[in-house]
Amino acid sequence: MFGLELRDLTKAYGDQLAADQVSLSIPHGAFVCFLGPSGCGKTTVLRMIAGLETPTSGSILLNGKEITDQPANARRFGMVFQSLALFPHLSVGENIAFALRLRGEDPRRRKERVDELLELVRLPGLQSRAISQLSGGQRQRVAIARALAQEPPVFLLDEPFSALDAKLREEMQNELRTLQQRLKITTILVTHDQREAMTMADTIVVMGEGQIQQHGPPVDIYRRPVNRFVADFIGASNLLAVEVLDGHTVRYGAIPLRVAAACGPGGAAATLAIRPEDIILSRTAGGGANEVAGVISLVRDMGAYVEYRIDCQGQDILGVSTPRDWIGAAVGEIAHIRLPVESCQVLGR
Amino acid sequence: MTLSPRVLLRRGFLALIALFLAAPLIVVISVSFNATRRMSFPPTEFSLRWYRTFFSDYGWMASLERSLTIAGLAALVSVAVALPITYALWRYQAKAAAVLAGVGGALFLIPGVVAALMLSAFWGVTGHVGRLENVVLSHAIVLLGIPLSLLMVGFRTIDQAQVEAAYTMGARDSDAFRMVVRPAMTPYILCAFVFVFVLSINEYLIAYMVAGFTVQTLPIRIFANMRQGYEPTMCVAAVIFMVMGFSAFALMSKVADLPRLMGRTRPLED
Amino acid sequence: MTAAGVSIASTASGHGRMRDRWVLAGLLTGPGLYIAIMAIVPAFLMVQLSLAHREVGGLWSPGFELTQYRQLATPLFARIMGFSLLLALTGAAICVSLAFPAAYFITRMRRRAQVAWLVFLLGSLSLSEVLIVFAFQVLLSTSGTLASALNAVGLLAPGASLYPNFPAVLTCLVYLLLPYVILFFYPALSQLDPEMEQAAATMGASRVSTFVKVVLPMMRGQILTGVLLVVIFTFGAYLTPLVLGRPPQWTIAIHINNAAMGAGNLPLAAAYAVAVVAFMVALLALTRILSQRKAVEA
Repeated sequence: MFGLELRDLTKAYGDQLAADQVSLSIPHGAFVCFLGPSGCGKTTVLRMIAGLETPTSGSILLNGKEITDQPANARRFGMVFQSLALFPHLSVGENIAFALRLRGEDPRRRKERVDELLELVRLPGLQSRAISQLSGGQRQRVAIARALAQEPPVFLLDEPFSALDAKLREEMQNELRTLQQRLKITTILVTHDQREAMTMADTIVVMGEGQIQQHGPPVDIYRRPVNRFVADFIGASNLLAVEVLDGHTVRYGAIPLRVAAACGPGGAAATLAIRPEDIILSRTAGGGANEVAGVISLVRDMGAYVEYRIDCQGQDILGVSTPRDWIGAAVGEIAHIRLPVESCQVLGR
Repeated sequence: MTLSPRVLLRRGFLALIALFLAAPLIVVISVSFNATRRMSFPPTEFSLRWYRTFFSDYGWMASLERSLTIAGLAALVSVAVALPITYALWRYQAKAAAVLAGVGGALFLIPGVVAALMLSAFWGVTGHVGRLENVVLSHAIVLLGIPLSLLMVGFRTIDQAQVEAAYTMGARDSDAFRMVVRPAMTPYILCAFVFVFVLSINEYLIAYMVAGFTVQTLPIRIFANMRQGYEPTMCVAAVIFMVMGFSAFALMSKVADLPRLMGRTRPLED
Repeated sequence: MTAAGVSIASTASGHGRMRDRWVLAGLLTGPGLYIAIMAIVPAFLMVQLSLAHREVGGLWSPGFELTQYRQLATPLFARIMGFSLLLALTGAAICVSLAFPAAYFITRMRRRAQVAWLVFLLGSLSLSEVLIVFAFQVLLSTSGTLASALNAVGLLAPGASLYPNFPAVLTCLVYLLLPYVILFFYPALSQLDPEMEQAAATMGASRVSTFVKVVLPMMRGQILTGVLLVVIFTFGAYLTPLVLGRPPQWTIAIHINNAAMGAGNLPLAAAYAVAVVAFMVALLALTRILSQRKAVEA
C-alpha cells in the first residue's frame, strides 16, 4: 500500500494507556487531522509516527515497509513542534538548511533550496535574519520551511498554530492547506481546535481516551457522529436520553419520536443526538410527527443567527435559527419544536 | 530489557565521576574508624577511639561550638540582608534594589583571597581586630550572592496575580506579605539559611585572615594540626563536616523542590 | 521587570507612590548600609592601600605612590600570573569537559535520581578546602593505598611520594571545582527544550551530531562563563597549591597571603589583589564579547 499505515499502535505509561490499539490507513498525499481533547493520546500517536516515542506494541508501515523500529533520525519525517523548536544560535537560512547540511549537500545546492523554500513560505530574502528578529507568524513559516527542506515522506505538525492570535491563525491555516495541496505531501496535524480540523483536513480522526472514536471526512464526522463522545466533542449537540421502542421509533419521555434508524433492542436506553440548526421552531403546533412543546427559556440574537433554548419536559434543548426564520418569540412563551426524522441520530450509550 | 552500549557508556561515565568525588571522603571516613595512630588505609581494626578523644577534647569542642555560632549568625545576617533586597526587587522593581543585588552578585567575581585581604584590611583600619563578629559579618557579605539568587528564584515562583487578588479582597501590603508571600517563601528562606550556614562553617581563608589568631574555627584548627603532622582526631572533625553538609542538603531536598532551587524551571515528572 | 508589575505597585495616586517610597526606604536602608560598609568601603580601601606608603613592621601610611605597582612589572610577577593562568585554564578544560556532559545527563534523569545527584554535589561542593586538601594528603601519602597500589604494579618507586607536584594540585582543584561547574551548567541545560533535540532528530541528526551541532552551540555563552568561574576560583585558591604543590606551583593567592600575613607588606598584597581583580574584569569582558559574537542579536 502506498501511504502510511498504523497497526494496533499502543503506548503504555505504567498502567496508563496513552494510545490504545490505534489502527489507521493514510493514503499518500492526504491531509489528516488528529482531533481530540487534551490528554486523548493524539500527540503520543504523532510522536510515535515521528519515531520520537517507541510504541509498546503495534507497528507502523510506510509504503508497505515496516518502520516501527527506525529511530527518528532515520525516518526523517519533517515535523513542526508546538514550541517550533527553532535553533536560536542559527540564522533563518541555517535553520532551514540544517537537514541538508547533515545530509552533506553542497553549499550551492543548499542555498538554492533555502531560497526556494523561503519563496514557498512567502518570506523571500530573510535567510540571514536571526530567529529572535522574526514575528510569530514568520517563525511559524520558517519552522514549516525547515521541516519541508528534506522533502520528507510524511509531514507532521503538533498544534503548530496554538500560540497565534485568531486572525493570523486562520491565515496560516489557509496557507498550509494551499501549500499541502500544491506539494501533495502526506500531512498529519494534531489539534484540539475543531474549526482548524474542519477547514483543513481531508480526513478527521477523532481521538478520545487513547482510542480512535471515529474517522472520516469532516462533514461525515459532523453529520453522522457514531457515538456520544464524538457528538458531544464536535460542535454543539443536543443529547436526549431516550428509550428504544422499535427499529424506527424511540420514546422521549412520553412522546414517541421517529428516527432514521434506532439501534439496540426494544426497551434499551439510548441517546438521541440532534444538531441545534436542524431543529425547526414554530409558535403553533403543526400536528405532525416528532413535535414537542416547551417553554422558551433563553433567546440570544447573535446577529448572524439566533440562538434559543427551550425547556421540554425538564431538559433544555438548544436550537439555532436564521434571522429570517426567527419567529420572534420571547422568554416564557410556549412554542413547538419539530425534530426532523433524518436529523435524529440514535447513539448507543 | 538489555542496556544499549550508549546507556552503559553514560552510566559508566557518571559512575566514574561519582567515584572520583567520593573517593577522598571514603578514605577519610574509614581512617577515622581506625584503631591505630598511624594513618593507614584500608583500616586494620575498627574502633571509635578517636571519636571519644575528639568529643572529650576541650579545644576541639570549643572550635566546633565557635564554628557553629559563626555559621548560624552569618546565615542569619546574610538572609536578613538579602530578603528585603529581593522583595523590593520583585514587588517594586526598585532600581536601588537592583544595584544592591548587583553588588552582591559582583562579589562572586572576586577571588576568595582578594575578598579575604579586603576584609582583613577593613577590620585592621577600624581597629576592631580578632573578634568573632568580624568573621560573622565578613562571611555574611561574601556569601550574600547565595541568598540573593535563591530568594530571587523563590519570588519568581509567586504569581503577581496572587498578590493582586489579595489586594482586591482587601489585603494591605503587610497582609499580602504575611498571607501570600511568606508561606510561599518559607522553604526558600530556609534553604538560603542552610546553604550559607554550610559554606560558612567550611570557610577557612577569610576566617583566618580577619580573625585567625584569636578566633580558632574548626577549619583553622584542622589546618593548624595538619601543619604539625597527622592526628587521627582530624579525620573525626572531617567526618563531622561531611555529616553536617550532606544531611543539611538532604534535609533541604525534603522541604524544597531542589531541582527548581538550583535553577530548573521546566517541569520535571516524578 | 514588566510594566504590569509597576502598575500594581503604585496605585496611580500620588499618595500611594509616596507611601511606596517610604516602604522602599525602610526596606533598603539597612541592607544598603551594610553592603556599602562591608563591600564598597573595603574595595576602596584596598585600592587606597595599594597606593599607600609602606612603613616598617607591617604598618603603612596613606599616600599616593606607585612603588608597589612597579613590582608588578617584574618577571617574577609575570611568571606567577602565567602559572596561575596555566593552572586555571588546564583545570577549566578538564572541569568543563567532564562537567558539561555530566550535567547534561543529570538533567535528563528522573526526579529522584536528579535530587540524589544534587544532594551529593551540593554536599561535596560545600566541603571545606581544608578538608579536601587533607583528604588528598591522606589519599596521596606515601603509606596510602594509591601509593602502595602503584608500588605493587611498579609504576612508583618505593618510598616515593605522589605529592607535592603539579598533577596533585591540578587533581585537587578539579575535585574542588567539578561540583561547582556541574551545578553551574545545571539550570541552562535543564531549561533546554527537548523539542530542540527532537527537531534535530526528525531532520536526520544522530545523538552525537545533535549534541555537537545543537546543544553545544546553544550553550556557548554558558561554557565560556563556566571557564571564567574556574579561573576566578583557581586564582583565589590558597590551600591547594600550598599543601599539594611546591613553591614553583604557588599561585597568586599564596603570594598575596604571604605578602600580607608573612612579610607584613599590605600595600604589595593590595597591589597584587587589584591587579588580579582587573584581570578578572578583563576576562569577564572577553567572555562577554566571545559569547555575543555570532549570537542571536545580529
